[in-house]
Amino acid sequence: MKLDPAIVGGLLLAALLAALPRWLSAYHVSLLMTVYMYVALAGSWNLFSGMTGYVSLGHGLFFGVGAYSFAIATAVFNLPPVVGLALGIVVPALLGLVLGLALLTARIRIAYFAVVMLGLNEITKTIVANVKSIGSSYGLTLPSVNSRYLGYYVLLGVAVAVTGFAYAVQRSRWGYGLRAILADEVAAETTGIRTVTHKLAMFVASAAFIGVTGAMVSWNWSYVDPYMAFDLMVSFDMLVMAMFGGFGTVAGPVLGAVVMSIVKEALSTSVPHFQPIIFGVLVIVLILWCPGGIIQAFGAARGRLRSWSRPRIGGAAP
Amino acid sequence: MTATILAVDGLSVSFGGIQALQRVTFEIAPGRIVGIMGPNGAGKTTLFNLITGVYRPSAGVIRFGDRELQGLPPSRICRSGIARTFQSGRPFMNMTARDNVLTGLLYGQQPAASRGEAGHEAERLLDFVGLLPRADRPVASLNLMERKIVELARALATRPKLLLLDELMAGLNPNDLAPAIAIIRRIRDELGVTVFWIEHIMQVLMNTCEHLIVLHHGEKLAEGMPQAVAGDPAVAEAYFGKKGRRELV
Repeated sequence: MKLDPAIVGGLLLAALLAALPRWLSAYHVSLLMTVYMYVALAGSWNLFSGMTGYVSLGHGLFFGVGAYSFAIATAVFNLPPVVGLALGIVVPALLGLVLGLALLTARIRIAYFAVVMLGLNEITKTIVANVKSIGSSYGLTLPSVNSRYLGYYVLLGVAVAVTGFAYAVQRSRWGYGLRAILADEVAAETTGIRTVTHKLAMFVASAAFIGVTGAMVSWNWSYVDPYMAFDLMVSFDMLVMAMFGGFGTVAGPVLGAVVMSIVKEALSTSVPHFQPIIFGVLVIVLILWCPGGIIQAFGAARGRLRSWSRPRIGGAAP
Repeated sequence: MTATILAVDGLSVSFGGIQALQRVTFEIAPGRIVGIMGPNGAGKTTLFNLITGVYRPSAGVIRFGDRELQGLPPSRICRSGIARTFQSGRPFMNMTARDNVLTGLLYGQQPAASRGEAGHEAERLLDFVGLLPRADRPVASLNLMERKIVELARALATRPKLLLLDELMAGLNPNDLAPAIAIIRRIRDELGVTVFWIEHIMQVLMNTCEHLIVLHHGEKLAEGMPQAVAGDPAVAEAYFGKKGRRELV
């Protein structure tokens, strides 16, 4: 069997990152955890929205539900954290299945879908903030993480899993089906592609990956309240990072999340008050400048370099 | 008694009170090239959308071989052996010509057993339609004729028994007509696919089809051999009005 350089390279990088924490300060470990979180979130958002074209403005819903699944399991029912993490996968996945069956089987317009997801995030936030038994707006205090690098490895694992999953999907038969759906859903359907099944499966997968990320992050916070768990910034950040990196590609969201989470961190330590403003302007400029994301910009720059290096005399192609 | 591959019986559909098709009934024999004509708004594309499951009929039966199609999702209908192209041309613009064909091969009636097999089959099909030299160009960089041929190859890749062509010739340069007609003939002759074909260019239909169906205001106006249909006074009236009819007759 031939070795795929992308898989080998990815695994080597993951192994390197896995060996890293003992040589890093606590600050750098937590910075890397934030980066992994955003890689997992942007990659999961891309699994559904990037690959099918159904942009979701409220995918943070699954982050919050994952966080609260973990919180309720551990803080209310005193279940072991492992069970909490497992529920952080299962509950958002089931919610994804139910929502997907309701939203994706009907021919809902893409714009409506985006707004419905945003609304569901806000509705859930309000409901959670008003249920006393799960801490209402005061939130819940969670058991703290008992092992030093646990969060680091779990988040790294989720980031690697999401990226690997996206890569496998894109290279499989489903990769063709999803690109077809992205291009033209009616034409895809009449070419034999079960469009609803494809959309539903990717929706559930993205919900599950985001859910477990939310569960792990809330455990790290060792505290969760509705305004953190269902913060709209979570929904927007993953979307912006995935789009900034490159919509629908595998490497795009990874690159977008790495670059933007580090820029975000640098801005909030150097100019904390202006961070959201500068960040916002940066996003607008970048999206106007290269709507296909930095992946596409790299590709275009490479193409331009290649055409510069080609001899120009004669003009005819060989 | 002749066998039928497609039998449409009493097919009707309405959109918001407008009756787009009214009790349309006809049969298509296997191995034929059947043309369908009619003025704009006659319901030709609507008929295709009903057969392929894009719309649901409000009444009537569509029988394909021995199975009824009405109510099935388009993907099921495709996998049971009906492929189509679209009026304005809808290839997957984010792919190369080759990947368009591969998608059809991977999802159609008899999905390819392996990627390697699909790859060979894609080459064969692209060669069949004469697009092999441009196989790896993005569809967005191809011209209209080539895009329509990509869409045709994608439809063939799903291994249909019946192929619905919705105005394949519309917008084509007159020089491209003859090659396109030749491909349609070869689809029937070499691949054994029955062709059901909407076209506005009457000369093309007259010369290529063995059977013609005429729709007008959502109803079947006439049906039969091309020459007989062309001589039908009702058809002339639908196209040219009463005065035209007098002049033609």
